[in-house]
Amino acid sequence: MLTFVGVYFLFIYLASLGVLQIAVSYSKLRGLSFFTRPIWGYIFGFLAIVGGFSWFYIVGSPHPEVAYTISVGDLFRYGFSNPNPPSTGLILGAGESVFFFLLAVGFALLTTIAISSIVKFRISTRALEDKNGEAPEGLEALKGMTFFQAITRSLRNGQGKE
Amino acid sequence: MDAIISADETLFFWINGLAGKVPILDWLMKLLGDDYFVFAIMALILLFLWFGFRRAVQGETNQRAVLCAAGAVGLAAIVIHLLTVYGPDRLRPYDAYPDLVNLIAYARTDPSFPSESAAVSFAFATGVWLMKRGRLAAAMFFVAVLLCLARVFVGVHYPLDIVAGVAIGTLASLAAFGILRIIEPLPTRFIGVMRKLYIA
Repeated sequence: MLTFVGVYFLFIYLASLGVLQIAVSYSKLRGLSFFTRPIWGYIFGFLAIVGGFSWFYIVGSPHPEVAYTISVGDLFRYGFSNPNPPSTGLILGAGESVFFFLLAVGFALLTTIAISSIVKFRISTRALEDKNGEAPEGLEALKGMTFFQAITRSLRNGQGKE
Repeated sequence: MDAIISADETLFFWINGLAGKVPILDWLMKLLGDDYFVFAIMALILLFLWFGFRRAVQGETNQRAVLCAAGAVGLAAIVIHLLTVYGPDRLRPYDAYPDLVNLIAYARTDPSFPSESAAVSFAFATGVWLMKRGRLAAAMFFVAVLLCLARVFVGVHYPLDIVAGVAIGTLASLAAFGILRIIEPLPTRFIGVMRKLYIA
């Protein structure tokens, strides 16, 4: 049971990682991109999405002739084993699909933040500052700095105001 | 009512009768009508909308569209669940006519009426369209229509199940749109908190 969940998780994780790179390349969010040139973000994103879907539909075999719907309880009860006859395939219940989808997207976002912050740790944080040295808020700020630089700046500014 | 059911079944057999003749068409419809493909695409479009924008104003519109679509999907799922438990228990086509239906997908055990897939896919598309009318919303509607057609083609729903699902998904989106307006400072504050965390 957990094997199928793992295959689904990896599918969504890879596809989300790809979509995030395409989105940040489109938005010119340099601080969240893995690459210096947006074109590489588009290429990586496309390959990750295609890879994720291919992985799921080739390895996961989500089109069984007879299907058993996995519930959360089954994951605790059976772990990696599948008590059904070999001819019975597995599918995820609606709630389980949503839960593991959100989990995979969350992990993809964390991966994006971590990798981009490491790869771009030398990025200049002054690029988007106005005359008062203030940087824009939210995702707009990540056009000129990494996530960790933005958070550090917020914390420093917060301490400065106290 | 009998006339409607009869017309519904006639239309079902006409569409489902096309299954099993062209392997590539069967494969495509199986893919479009499964429980993952279209929903993953739609949810990934929402992820793109959240992070993909050129100007801050456009970003806030996109993020409100995501909130509306997510709320609509949640509402549609609740309504479908209630109808599944308390509504009419219509047999799936392959259970009602086991010898006549070309079933090219796995058999489901829940009632046929209404179609949850149609409701959820239209909740996604209408939720986005209500906040942001553009090519992405149009693409989502196109994919949702293909999914609806595929569910009949593969033999798991009657057309009337689909029509009811589309109505539920659309109404759920309108309700989510209205609720977001009624509770207005909350969505703005939510997006504000996300902005402070640099994820909106």
